[in-house]
Order: sequence, then structure tokens, then C-alpha cells
Amino acid sequence: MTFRERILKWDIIGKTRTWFTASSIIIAIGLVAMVVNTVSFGSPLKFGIDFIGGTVINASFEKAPDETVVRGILSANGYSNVTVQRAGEKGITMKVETNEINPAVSGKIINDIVAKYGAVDVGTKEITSIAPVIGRDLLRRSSLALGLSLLFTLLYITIRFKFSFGLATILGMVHDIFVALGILALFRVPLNAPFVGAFLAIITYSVQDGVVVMDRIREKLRYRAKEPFDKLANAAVTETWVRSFNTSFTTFLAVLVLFIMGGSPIRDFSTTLLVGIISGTYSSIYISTPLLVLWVQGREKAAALQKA
Amino acid sequence: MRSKVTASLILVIVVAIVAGVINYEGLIAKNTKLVPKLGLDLRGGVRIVLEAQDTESAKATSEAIDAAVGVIDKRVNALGVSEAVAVRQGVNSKRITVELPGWEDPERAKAIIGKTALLEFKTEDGKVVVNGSNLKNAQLVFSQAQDSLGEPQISFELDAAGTTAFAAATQANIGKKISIYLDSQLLMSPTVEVAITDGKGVISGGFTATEASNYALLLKSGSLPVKLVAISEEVVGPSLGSVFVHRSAWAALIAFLLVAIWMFIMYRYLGLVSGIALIVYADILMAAYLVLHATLSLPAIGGAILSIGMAVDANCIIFERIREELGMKKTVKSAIGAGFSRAFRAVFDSNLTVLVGTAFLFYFGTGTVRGFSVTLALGVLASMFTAVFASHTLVDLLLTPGIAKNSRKFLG
Repeated sequence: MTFRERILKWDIIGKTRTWFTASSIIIAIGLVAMVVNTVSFGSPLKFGIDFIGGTVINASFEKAPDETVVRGILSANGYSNVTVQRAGEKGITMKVETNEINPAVSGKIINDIVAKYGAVDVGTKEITSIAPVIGRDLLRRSSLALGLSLLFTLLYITIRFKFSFGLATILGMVHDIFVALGILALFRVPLNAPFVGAFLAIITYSVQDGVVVMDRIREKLRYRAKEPFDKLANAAVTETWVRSFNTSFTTFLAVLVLFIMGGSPIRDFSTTLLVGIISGTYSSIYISTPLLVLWVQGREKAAALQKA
Repeated sequence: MRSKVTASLILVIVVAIVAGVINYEGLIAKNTKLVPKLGLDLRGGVRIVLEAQDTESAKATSEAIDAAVGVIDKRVNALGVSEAVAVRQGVNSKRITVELPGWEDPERAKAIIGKTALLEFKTEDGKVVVNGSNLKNAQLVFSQAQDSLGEPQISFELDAAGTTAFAAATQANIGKKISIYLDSQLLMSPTVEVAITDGKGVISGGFTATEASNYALLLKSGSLPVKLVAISEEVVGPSLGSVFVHRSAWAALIAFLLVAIWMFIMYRYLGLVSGIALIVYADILMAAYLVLHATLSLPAIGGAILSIGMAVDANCIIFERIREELGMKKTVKSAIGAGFSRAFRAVFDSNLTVLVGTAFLFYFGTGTVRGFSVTLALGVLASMFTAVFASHTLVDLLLTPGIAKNSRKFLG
């Protein structure tokens, strides 16, 4: 028996309880991490300055700046609560959260450091200063965009398939979002603007994967004789298992290369994608389809009861 | 049948060649209309967000903010930054985002962008006779006069209405003073000796050369009709950009090779077809980025590499389907036909779902989110063409009698 033939014999739907338990544990760990974060840091996720506002200034100078002196310069300019760290040989990083360094003052601070430690090395100066109001606005708009695209995806699948199919796909997607958020909360990865992109990719991926499985169920329903829905759904997922694995594996390969070669500026982003791809593939087979089976069987039972 | 395959093949080849020419022009010949646009996070530069605030003299009305965007646009272009943009963050927003790609001097940018630059000529009784809106031209000059030789000054020229008003005012105020104010700060108050009828003059106010040149630029671009305050700034060094772009190009190539090898292992000759389709895909996608001037930012490039993996998605769906059809003891030809047509619905629905999602993201999103949704949507459209249409054509070509003897071998 080849591997493909063996897959067709798998009873995926029959082990629904196993899959749900596994997912519940993973999501529960994430939720616990979020609760712990909320208690000890005041927010379930670690939002970066793109979302909460704040300032990061990096620069290298002719001579290595002293942290205490730089702290003095900052407080002389009215900013006393700033984290100052040496970065590299002659560089320094100044970071403050939620209370941004006014753009009108940032130039003066750098000039004050230049006066003591010599000119800024060409191309090393980086300033990110986001007003909290802008950060909150970005967070609000991004959440709105994500929420609306979920809603309309549900609408589209409802039109093309059935409401139950759409709901199962969306729930699978929600599963993926929680898994990813949980892991981000667990490792306290700071979330910045690029994460909106990573989340979009996860959602997209999850939907695309889900729709293909749903399509096979839809097709099988058309030629359905008397077979029970769980058997039909199991056949659909086992028949599409290899293709689900292959598409995920190719995407996984591509992102893995990005993870290894993209280096630190994109590492958090690519890690999120890797988690999303694995979770997205898993959820469309092991979460969305069993959910659909539960829903449909529940309805069929109710209908049978009414007849009797 | 055969002529249909030929026609499709010609279409695929023409599209690939057109895309190839665009890529050659943009990436190698560096045609200025097609050079790839890199986002601020990769290219380096300055981004400043300004917020309009109400003052006693000027309310931050919607019209005033729109007018301010126009003024800033003129100013940043006068600075000589290529591809500088000034946009309002939304129809009802009080914020304006200004991006200066490649610019490294945030202080000069802030000094120029946020200044009101309202020039006023006032008589002794405080009446404004001419203001900055009457200026036709302004530039930095160096004084030729004996007592102030070499001092930086701003020479100006008034438009027709300004010239008339200025002539009348100087005529009426001979022997009196006319004061020149910039942003309510007194620059000079010379005594009028004769009526000035040609609308030309020189302002000196103890400027340095840089100040005089900045002010001349500001005066020429017009004054801001509303008070603007910088609330956010981002200064990105250029170092990240070139290294990252270089590495992403390698990452994309390696990702492509790995995906192609995996597809060959799984689907043999069909896998080879998807490899060719993937090359055409990358070709079309890059050309689309160039033609549409899509901005390539860090997450957008990540998305593009991700899409290499996703582009073969449709191929996997179709090839698996062909295998299943073959399992039902169909001939190779009918299995391939059925595989493509049956799989099409799944491919169509999954891709269209993604397009619906991206449309909303684009509409409601900002900056990064928008860029990402554009690259994602382009990827989906391009992969529909290559993974479905181009692959089908190539598979049909392989089936054409005379090219392959044992067609069952294709399927590994």
C-alpha cells in the first residue's frame, strides 16, 4: 500500500476529540500567557511603538557616547524616563514608550550629543517617533480592516457555498489567529506595523486552504447517496490531504528561506508567518471540517427528531 | 484542438516577453519611468506627520488643509527630493503625511515643511498692503551695495496685482516707513524714497545664506493657510535597504529552486511544468510591480516571497486532481482535461475569497497594509494566469503527438 493509499484510510473526523483537545491546550497556553502579561505588564500583547506611540533614536558618533552623559542630555531637554543603551562600537540607542520625543526637540538632542562626541556617522541616524494618537489610530484602522475582511469573506463563502461552510472556515481562521497571538504573547514579541501584514497573510492562507477542502465536500454532497455526513467529510479531507500538505510545504519552504536569509529585520515577521502556515493548514483539516460535521450532524439529528 | 493550443501558447509567450522587456527596462536599463520603487523602510529617508491646529487667526478647515497639502507639495519638490509625497491621511483627517525618500536631513525638512512663511508688507498704521500670495518669484541673492557687500538677501518679484498695489502704497507713503514681516516677525522697515512701480525689491534681515535660501524657497511656494505641528517623525538610515534587497533577491531565487525541486519530486514532468509556470509568474509579477509603481517595503517583499510558495497552490490542486482522475482508469488526455476543469472551481473560489479580503484591506487600511494588499492581489491574479492557463497550455503541448511518446510518464 502506498502512502497515498494509506492516507485515504485515515479516520480524521473520528478523532475529532483528539484534535480539539490539542488545539485547546495550545490556545489555552496562549491565553494564560496573555493573562499573565496583562497582570504583570498591563496588556495581553507587547505592542511596539508603532501602535502605542513612543520614540526610538539610534545613531553612531565619532567617539563612543557615555550612557550617563546621554541620559543627562535627555533630561536637560525634558525627557527623563528614557532607556539609554550602547549599541555597537560607537552607537547609542534611546528608547521611550507611549510618550514620544517631540520632533521639534529630537534635532536638538542629537546636536547636544554631537557637541560632546563628534559628528554622526553617515547613514547611522535612525529616528522613529510616533505620537500615541497615531499609533492608536493605526491599531484601530488595522483591526477594522481585518474585521471587515473576515466579515466579507464569510459573506462570500456563504454565497458561494453555505453559511455553515463559511462559519466553519472563519472559525478555523479565528483558531489560527489565536494560536499566532498566543505564541506572540508567550514570547513577548513586540508587535509593530509589519505584523498587520503577517496577520493578513495568515488569514489569507487559512481561507485559501479552507476553501479547497470545503469545495471537495461541496462536490461530494452533490453525488451523496445515503452515506453519513462524517464519512463523506472524512473522505473529502483524506482525498485533499496530500495537496494540502504539498501547498503548505512549498509555502513553508519559501518562508523558511526568508526566515534564514532575511535576517533580524524580518525575523519576527517570518516567524509569525511560519506559525501561521502550520496552524492554517492544520486548522482547515482538523478544526474547520470537524466543526462543519458537528454542525451538519446536529441539524440532521434535529430534522430527524422533528419528523419522528 | 491543436490550433487552440498554439494560440494559447503564443499568448503565454507574448505576455512573458512583454513582461520580460518591462523588467529589463526597469531593472537593468534603469528606465526612469520603471525603476522599482522602494519603501522608506528599505531606501531610507524621512517621514513626517503633521497635524493641523486651530489658531485664533486661522481655523483648520478642510479646505485649508487641502491647500496646505498643495503648498507642502510645492515646497518638498523645490527641495529637490525626487518622489517626495505629501498626502492627507484621509478625507476628513487633520493629518498630513510627508515622505522624503533618500533624504537624510530631518532638521532641514522640518524647518521647511512646518513653517507658515507668511510675508506681509505693512504701512505705519498697520495696514497690510501686499502679502506673500502676491509673490511671483523669490530667490537668494548677495548684496552688491557698498555698506552691506556680500550679505545674503532675498530678492522678490510681485505679480501684476501686487505690483499695482505696491506702486499705489509706496506712492502714498513717500517719506514714511513700510515694514516687512515674516511670520509676524519684523525683518526690516525701510523708509520709502520713491514710488516702486516695477514690483521688484530686495529684503534683508540679517539672514545667513541657508536661511535666506530656505525663506526664498518658502516664499516662492506660498504660505501655509493653517498652523501645522509635527507630531511624528521617522528617519531611516539607508544601510538596511541595499543589503536587505540584495539578500531578498537571493532568498527569492533559493525559494524558487526549492519549490521547483519539490514539485518535480512530487509530480515529475507536471512538476517541471509548474516550475516553468513559476518563472513566468515571477516575470509577470515583477513587471506588474514596476508598471503600477507598487512600493516595495519590508513586509511587501516578505509577502512576495511568500507568494512564490502560494503560486504553486493551484498547480497542486490541479495535479492531485489529475492523479485522482487517472486512478479512475481514464486515458491520460481525458484525465488531464477533467483534472483542469474540475479543479478550476476550487482554484477560482479560493483565489476570489482572497481577492475579496484584499479589496477591503486596501479600502480601509493605511500605508503598509495597503502596500501588502496590493502585492497580494497582484500575486493572486498573476498566479491564476500562470498556474491555470499557462500550465494547462504547457501540459497540452506535452500531450501533442510527436513531442512525447509515453505520456503516462509525465505523472511520475
